[in-house]
Formats: sequence, C-alpha cells, structure tokens
Amino acid sequence: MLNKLRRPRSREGVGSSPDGSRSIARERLHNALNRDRYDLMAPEVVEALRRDLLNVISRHLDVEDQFHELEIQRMDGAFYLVASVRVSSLPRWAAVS
Amino acid sequence: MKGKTIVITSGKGGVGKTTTTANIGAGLALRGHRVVVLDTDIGLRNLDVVMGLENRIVYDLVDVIEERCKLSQSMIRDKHLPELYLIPAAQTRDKNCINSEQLTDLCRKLEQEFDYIIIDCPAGIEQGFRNAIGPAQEAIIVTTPEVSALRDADRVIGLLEASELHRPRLIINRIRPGMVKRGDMLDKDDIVDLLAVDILGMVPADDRLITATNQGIPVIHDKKAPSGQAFSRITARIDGDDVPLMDLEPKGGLMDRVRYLMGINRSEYTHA
Ligand SMILES: Nc1ncnc2c1ncn2[C@@H]1O[C@H](COP(=O)(O)OP(=O)(O)O)[C@@H](O)[C@H]1O
Ligand SMILES: [Mg+2]
Repeated sequence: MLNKLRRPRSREGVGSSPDGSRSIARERLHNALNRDRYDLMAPEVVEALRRDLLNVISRHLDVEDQFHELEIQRMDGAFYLVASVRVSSLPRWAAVS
Repeated sequence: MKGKTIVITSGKGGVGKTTTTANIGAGLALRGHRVVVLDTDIGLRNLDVVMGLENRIVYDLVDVIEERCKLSQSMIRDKHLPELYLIPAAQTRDKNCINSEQLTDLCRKLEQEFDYIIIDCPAGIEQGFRNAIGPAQEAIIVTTPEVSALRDADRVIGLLEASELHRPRLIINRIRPGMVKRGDMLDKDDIVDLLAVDILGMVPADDRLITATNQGIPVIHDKKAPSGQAFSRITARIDGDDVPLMDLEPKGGLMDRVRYLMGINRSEYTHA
C-alpha cells in the first residue's frame, strides 16, 4: 500500500518518464497540432489535392475525373487520407516476365 | 529611404511580446538605426512602462490616427537612445476603434523616415491582431517552450501565411536550460520538428530581465544579462548578420550549480 502511494513520486512516476516530462509534452503538442490543423483545414487544400492526385493517377490509369471519396479521416487519434476513384478501364499491363 | 515594418505577435498572452518589442527596438537603435516601436495593444498599453516612458505620454496612437495631433507629436523619444521613438497605445479606447488600413497608412508614412517600425501586437487572433499584422512586411512570433503557447503559435503561423506574411520566424522565450538538460522542457529541436518554422533566437528565463524591467530599462542595456545578450544576437540576425544559434547551457560554475539546486536560479543560462 505504502509502495503504491509512493510510486508516483519515484523516477517512473507521473512527470518523470524516462527522459522527463519533455517526451509527454512533445507527444501532447504533436496531437494538439494535428487536431487543430485537421479542424482548420481549408476546402481549397482538399481541392488542390484532388487536382494533383487525379493528374498523377491518370498518368498510370484511366480513371473518372471525380473521386468517389476523398478526405482526411480521423481514427483512434491518427489521421488517414482516404481516397477512392473509379477506374474506367484497365490498361493492358506490360507482361509480367 | 524605405524602412521595414515588423510585427511581434504570439497568439497567447504573457509570453514576452512587449518585452521583445522593447528590446529589439532598442537593439536596432543601438546598431545605429532610426526606429519606431508602436504599441497596438489598445486598452492594455504596456510598452510605455516596459521602456520607462509612461510619464511622457501626451498623445497616443488613436490621437494620431484620428488626427487630433501631428505624427511627430505622438512620438516619444527614448531616454537612452535618441534615434528610438515610441508611439503609445490609447488606454481609454478599444481595439475596434482603428482599422488595418489606417494603421497601414501610418506605417507607410513612418517608413519614409525610419529604418524599422516594430509593432507590438495584442494577444488573441481578433481585430487587434488583424490590425497589427496588416502593415507588416515581416512577422516574428514569440512563444515559450510550453504546449499551450506553441499550439497558439502554430495557429498564428497559419493565419500569417494566409495573410501573405510568409516564413515568420520564431523566438523561444523563457527557456530554462537546466530543465531542458534534465529532459523536463521542450527544446529547440522538438519545436522545429513539430512546428516546421525557422528559429530567430532563444531567450533564457532571466531574473536580470525582471530587474531591468522593474526600472523601465530594456534588458539589452545590461551587458551582463544572458537575456540581454540573447536579444543582441536576435537583433543582429534581424539586421541581416549571420549569427549562429547556440544552445543555451546551464552555467558551469560550482556556485551557480549550488544556487540552482537551491532554487536560486539567478543564472541558469549562458548563451543563446
Ligand atoms: N526571458 C524572460 N525572463 C524572465 N521574465 C520574462 C522573460 N520574458 C518575459 N518576462 C516577463 O513575463 C511577463 C510577460 O511579458 P510581456 O512581454 O509583457 O508579455 P506579452 O506582451 O506577450 O503579454 C512580464 O512580466 C515580463 O517581465
Ligand atoms: Mg504585451
């Protein structure tokens, strides 16, 4: 019991992770910045991304000029770019040798 | 002659904008430039007391904008540096009583006669902030190495970029090198990493700064003060000198360490 009460004051306790509270602050800042930047993302950013992605993809594939889905999604505190676009027709691939 | 207007901003309050404005203004004047520092924190004026000029105010920023006085009448000459002038904020009005165009006109006029116009911005991201960044060609963001201040700094960087003030530079103020060394404070590399911003300089937390401010003297005049030395280097960088960034180190002397361990952290710092 006494041990348990004392633990937080020891080296491994709150506020003294292996390299002090700095790594906790770093992690929290990282998350807060991501969260804010996600909330504040301007529609023009998504629009620019859409244009550029379509340009690159159509160099390789014949695709429709609209994304079926294009957004940055938040899952379990992480961020994912989720994009899907319909392929109009598949090219004849260079033969696999 | 065409001067340059620089805004000192932060988002969060109390991180050292006014202190930085006073010291950069004095620093540039010490380097031989003609400088005006402009307090745009209408309703909460502070730059006058930080510079020790509070007893000399007759007219203020709103008076000159509303043409109740001439521009020259609103400028208070510094006690120590004849080429440094302050235009104080109005105390009895609020931030919405002027607009960005009026302030920009004023700065364009000042740029004809002065090398640098340094604008002390109010905290927040509302009208007062918009007014203050309007005339600026460059922006300097002040932060402390704490999560809340850095988060606000990031937000402000986004707003500055959206207003075509690209590549603002960051001053990290109130660093405690001893805490950084112990791993109990974010350091320069963490901040560069997460905010992706250029660092203009680092200023240690410094008791001598408080002592100087108590007397209405910008700490840059105190040659022994680590924070004053840091502001000198920052000023040189603003002025185009290539002064390398040094990591702040806790002072090495035994007595300093003893003092530091006892919590009397008078000199927990050296260079910046
Ligand atoms: N490097 C420093 N070391 C010690 N005290 C500081 C330092 N920088 C600022 N301060 C103190 O912090 C307080 C807030 O500073 P100020 O410049 O008024 O911030 P802001 O204008 O951003 O609200 C003041 O009391 C000031 O003297
Ligand atoms: Mg202030």
